Amino acid sequence: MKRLLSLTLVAASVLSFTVATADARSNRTKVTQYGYANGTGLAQQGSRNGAVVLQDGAGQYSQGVQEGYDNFLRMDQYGTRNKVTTAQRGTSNLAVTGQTGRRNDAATYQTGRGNVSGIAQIGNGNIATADQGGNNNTSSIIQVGNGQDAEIRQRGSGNISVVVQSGYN
Amino acid sequence: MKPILYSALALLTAACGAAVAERADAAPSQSSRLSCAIETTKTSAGIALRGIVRSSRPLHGDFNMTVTTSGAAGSSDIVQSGAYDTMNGPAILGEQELSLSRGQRLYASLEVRDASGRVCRDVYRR
Repeated sequence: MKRLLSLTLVAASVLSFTVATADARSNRTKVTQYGYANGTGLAQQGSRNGAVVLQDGAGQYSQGVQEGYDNFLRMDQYGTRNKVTTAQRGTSNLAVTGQTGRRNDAATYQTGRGNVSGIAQIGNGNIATADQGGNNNTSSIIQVGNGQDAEIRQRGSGNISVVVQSGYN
Repeated sequence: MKPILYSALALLTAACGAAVAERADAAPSQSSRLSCAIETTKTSAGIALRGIVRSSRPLHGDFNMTVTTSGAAGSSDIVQSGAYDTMNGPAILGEQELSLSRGQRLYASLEVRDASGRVCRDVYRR
């Protein structure tokens, strides 16, 4: 229940950030890192893109690339040696990733307009990939446990995919 | 004869002074056509940086802003680039908010180019 609440809060903060940047032309980033030996790389080209990174723990790595307009990404990681990659090209794409545990790996690639991706991983050694190209596609991956692997690839418009997995491999 | 000479000298001095003043005015207005800066503000978590460009006349061009931090908590590299215009006054180019722990180093650089190729640069170190 607590985790659901956290995800809801993340979604709410995403919305509030989007609203806050609606009138601004500039790109905005916020990077918060606690712990040690964490790394972040962000590149934004265009206007009104927003990126928020929060890393707490050790050896976390996040990488974000956004090109175009009105794209937003958020990457939160807690634990040890987790990795997130988000790349968005186009307009009004949204990607939110949250991971807690150890050695989780999440990647989101979106090209086009109005695509939405959400990835949540709780546990160790999970891998999630969301790759969307086109317009108004939506994907969600939720993995709880260890050693899970999920991959979503969507091309076209208006596709929706949801993967929810739990267990130990 | 002497008053006429004095008057002529005074007129000449005034004319030269006016010319010098005009040139002095012209120089800043030339250079102030494009100015840029990295503005910083302390936040509860660390620091907020903002790249801004100002011009005395409407201009457009592109910019590149990089921010690098390094220290025990880790490192971050942020690159923001894109187009700008100052049709409606000063343009905010990029905004970054970063957490900074004790001993964390920060280097930020801003490069702004206008359509005619003129370049403005600013650097911030901490």
